[in-house]
Amino acid sequence: MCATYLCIKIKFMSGIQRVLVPTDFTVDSLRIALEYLENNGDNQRVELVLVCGYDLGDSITGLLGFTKDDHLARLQGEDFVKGCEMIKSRFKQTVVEMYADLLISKNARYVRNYLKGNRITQVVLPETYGFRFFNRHCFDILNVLKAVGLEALPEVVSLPVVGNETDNIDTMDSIFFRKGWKVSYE
Amino acid sequence: MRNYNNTLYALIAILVIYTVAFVGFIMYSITNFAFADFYKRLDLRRNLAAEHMFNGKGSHTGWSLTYVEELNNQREFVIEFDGKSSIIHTTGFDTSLWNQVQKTGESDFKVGNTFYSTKYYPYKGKHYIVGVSAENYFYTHHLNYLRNLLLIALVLGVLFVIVVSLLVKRSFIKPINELIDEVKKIGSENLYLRLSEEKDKGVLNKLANTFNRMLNRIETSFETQKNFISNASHELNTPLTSIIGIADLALSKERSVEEYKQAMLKIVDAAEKLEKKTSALLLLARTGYENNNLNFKPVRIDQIVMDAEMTVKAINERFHIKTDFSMLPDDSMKLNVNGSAPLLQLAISNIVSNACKYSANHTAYVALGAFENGVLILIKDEGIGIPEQELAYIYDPYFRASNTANFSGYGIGLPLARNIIKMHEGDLSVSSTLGKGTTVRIELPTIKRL
Repeated sequence: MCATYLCIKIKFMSGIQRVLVPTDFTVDSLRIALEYLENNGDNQRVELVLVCGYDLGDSITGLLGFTKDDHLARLQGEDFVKGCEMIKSRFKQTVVEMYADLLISKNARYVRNYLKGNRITQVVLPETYGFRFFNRHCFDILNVLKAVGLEALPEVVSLPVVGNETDNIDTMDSIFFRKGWKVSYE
Repeated sequence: MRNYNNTLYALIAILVIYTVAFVGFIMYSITNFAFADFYKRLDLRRNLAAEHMFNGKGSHTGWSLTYVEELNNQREFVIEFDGKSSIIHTTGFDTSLWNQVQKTGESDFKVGNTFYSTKYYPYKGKHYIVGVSAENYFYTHHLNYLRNLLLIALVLGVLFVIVVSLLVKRSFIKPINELIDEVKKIGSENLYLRLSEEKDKGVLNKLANTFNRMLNRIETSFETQKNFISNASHELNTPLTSIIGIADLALSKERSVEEYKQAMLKIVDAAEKLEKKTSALLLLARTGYENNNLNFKPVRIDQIVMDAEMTVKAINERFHIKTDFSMLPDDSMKLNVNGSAPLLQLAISNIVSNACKYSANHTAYVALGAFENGVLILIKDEGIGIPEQELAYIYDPYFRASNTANFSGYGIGLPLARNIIKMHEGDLSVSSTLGKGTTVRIELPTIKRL
């Protein structure tokens, strides 16, 4: 489930890629993950970590009272979770695990340690994608990741993901009816 | 109902009889106890008096028993009598009571409110009866008070029991009467009405819920037939009109054999289209009931979506459907839904044909995906949309939005589809932007794998 935090499993690094995919917890941003998985040519098994920047705030009550899981539960809406489940069931063979996480600081050292601690092997950077955060504590991590320095990052995958389409009536529209699907049975 | 009444009255009667018996028993026991106790006290005073009289020096009247409290109206008396039981001499004894006194031993008796206690003493060769009489204050005042109290309590108790049991009976009858009134309103023209279900009514709530589910099934059945009739009358009209037109044109004047042949070929063509439409409509009109039982089986939802699209195309070939199956799961077990294939096909084809009907490009976009416990079907169109303030009414039967004036329809398709989806424990929701398009989202639960 997307909400499990830090599945600390001992894995053989050669088998499974751990990929960081930036997100803003909208269904539209799942297209980045979809693009990545569709271009995953050699059926490499992956673990997807959907990361959003989140400012925990300064209040001590907030810091002590709410865990990261509480924040994640609040940020992930029903539709987002359903979208993740759909992606998981479509790519059942390749996606071993898919969960969400929060980056709580913009500090470069923190980001480096985060990448190292979570054993991230690939980072997806979408070109020309504008995130739309619906929570004011969230921030964009693309610039943060780029500021760390590309040489410090593990392998970077750049994807040309088209920006938001604003004429979606239903939130789930975003993961369907994308380019390149033209099946019809008539 | 009569049995219920009889039982109720019998129970009330038993309760009342029990209470009366109980009260009577209390009174009887206390009275007996009071009598016995008082006699004992009289006996004590009588013995003291005798002791004083025969062994002391005091006179008959006016002596007091210093250590014993004087009872109410206490009188001591001595009777001297001879061997033949006739009174020789008495002090303050009412001789009319002589018969009640036992001449050879002790006796206790009561006259009105006065209690007597007597004993026989032989003394110096003469026969004496020494006795004490007094009024029982406890009996006259306290027991009366107790008797009044118990009577009032009894009456109040009986009243209370009757009132409470009638109230309880009414509180049970009243909601049933309300249910009856609500059900009376439901007829074939307003089958969409449902009974109100409140959370806190227990068995009656379950009854209302069961009734509502039955109404769902009946309404779906009705609406399926109406849907078929309205579809048939509309869709079958066009090819028939064209057949009649071709025939009329061919007969309007003398024509060559070739021209007649051409006309016949066109008629055959139109008739074949008519046949295709009729079988597609009849297929939809099957309500899924085999032998009058609703038959739910595991069905593949992707198969149903594809069949529904074929049916829509068969009924109206100007409609186009574009399908996105790109998010289908690897595991096809995730697409198994417990339900009735004809009903689901009917629901989906209704939504799809609505999507095509109300758009300029007559195209519907259908997508299917599977999440953890269910499947998601999206049916999207780029049509006229639904005005925001009317979105709440779209599920009402026969409702047509204000911008549908140029489109024919009866307003049955969407409520029918929603009922069918509800019967499958699913959810149907509609989002729309006026002028841009509408998206219908159907979620159905899949069969849980063990």
